[in-house]
Amino acid sequence: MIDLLGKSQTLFGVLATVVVLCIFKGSSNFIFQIVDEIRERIKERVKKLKVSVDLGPSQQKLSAKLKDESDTSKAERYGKLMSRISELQMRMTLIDMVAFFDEYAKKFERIKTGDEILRGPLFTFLYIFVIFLFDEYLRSSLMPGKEIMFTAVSFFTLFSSLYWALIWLNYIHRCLCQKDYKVYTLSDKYRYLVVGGIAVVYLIIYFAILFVCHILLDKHYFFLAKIFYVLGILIPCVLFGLYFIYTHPKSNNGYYMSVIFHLVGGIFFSVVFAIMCHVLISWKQHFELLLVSDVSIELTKLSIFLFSILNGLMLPFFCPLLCSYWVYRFQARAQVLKKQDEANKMLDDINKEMDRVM
Amino acid sequence: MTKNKFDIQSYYDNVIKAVNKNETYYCYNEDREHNAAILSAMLHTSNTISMYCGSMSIFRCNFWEKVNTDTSIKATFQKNLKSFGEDDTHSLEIVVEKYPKDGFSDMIFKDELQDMLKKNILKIFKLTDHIEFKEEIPHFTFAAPCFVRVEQDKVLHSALCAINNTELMESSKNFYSKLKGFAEPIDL
Repeated sequence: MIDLLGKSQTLFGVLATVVVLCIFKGSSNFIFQIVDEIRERIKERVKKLKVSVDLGPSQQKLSAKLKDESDTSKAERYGKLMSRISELQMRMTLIDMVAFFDEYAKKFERIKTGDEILRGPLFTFLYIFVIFLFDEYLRSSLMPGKEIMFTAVSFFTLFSSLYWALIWLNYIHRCLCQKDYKVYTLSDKYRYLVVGGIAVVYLIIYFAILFVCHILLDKHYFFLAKIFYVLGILIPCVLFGLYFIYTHPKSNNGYYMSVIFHLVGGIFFSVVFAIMCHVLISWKQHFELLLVSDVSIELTKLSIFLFSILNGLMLPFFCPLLCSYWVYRFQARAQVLKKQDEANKMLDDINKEMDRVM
Repeated sequence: MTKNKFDIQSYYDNVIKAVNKNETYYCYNEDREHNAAILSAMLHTSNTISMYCGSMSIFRCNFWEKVNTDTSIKATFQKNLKSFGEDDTHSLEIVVEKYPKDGFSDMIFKDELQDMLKKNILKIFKLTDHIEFKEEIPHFTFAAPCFVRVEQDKVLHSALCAINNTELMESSKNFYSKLKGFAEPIDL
């Protein structure tokens, strides 16, 4: 019997109960409510940012001079200086700032509308449910192939972590960067064809990796084989993921379909890879070295716990919050301070010239 | 050169003279009367005028009630507005800070404006509501080839008027096009 969750079953049960509160929009979703409130407060702070330089005294001084000046050349000099002040006023007060606020309004909108905050907990809830099923399977004395199932759990956790790492990085990138990517939609027929093609390619790549690993293990390059095996599994996933996330972000009929599709896909590949791996182990013992060693149960359990708590609760809470704060503190405020410095320098120059002219 | 000490007709004549002679010229706008004189001069000398203003107060009864009735500036303004609207190649484009609750019901020179709207000479846009600090953006008007008025006080209508200052003209054009990007047309 493999005791995967052991006494932590209750903890995972509680975690699943808390996570299930966060899968729908609304007042029951405490993460959504808290994040929404804090984000709106930060957004208000951005709205209040402004470049404040006091142009009044210089403007009044020049207006008074220009009004009463009858000397043409002097009036021209005053007029030029006033023009510079007017230009400065237009630039800093806010015609540039109109674009500025529009840019940041868009960023906050992207933070708000990102469905990852709901998708993350939903996936995590289903993930914990699947882990409970695996756990029951591993506990049972009747079920065969427990080693295979345990390896499948490890693969499944690895795939899930990688999938969500990509999604959260994409969310942060989307929220903080201004660039809008050109996206394409795939028709239903074409989508299934592409997904099927990718699944076949990935299986072929896996065979190739196992073949190379066999050669490396044969030559006693154990560590290199292990690294090659892990990277060989992860890199194609990352590449396929990046391709879909940037070019076809809406190609899954909404996020429920996307979550179910990736969950089922993750389970499928985990089981297939695990079966293939164990078939090879029964053929050649050295393939065993590719898998994680004795501490693997504890390590898997820790990974499951970390993934569940991070993806179900922490990241949906902290990602939008930190993105909002980052946008305010390191983008909007920094930009306003920079503009203010520039405006002050320009006003200093104008004042110096004004003193010279008057 | 400014001559606010002159009467408003001389003020207007000086501006027209500077534009016609292509001279660099600056003058200060103290009040509504000077504001009207400047726009009137723009209508007389230019074929393309772009304006960012509060709610088109210069075309409202309320504005003209506060202008000295002894001067001929109102008649000059109306005459220039009419002749500006008679040429189909002319263009008067206005972005308003806010669309007034009562629409444009208290407009003065209604016939001229309606005629210009019909001919598509007059186009009016409104800044969208989500723009922050709208009220702090200075009002300004510029007319081809190089005639700019930038307001300093929106209540007093005091402003700087610059003729043939190419830098200010270019900046005004640039700012106006940015501003227009955040405006939507008003269907009257």
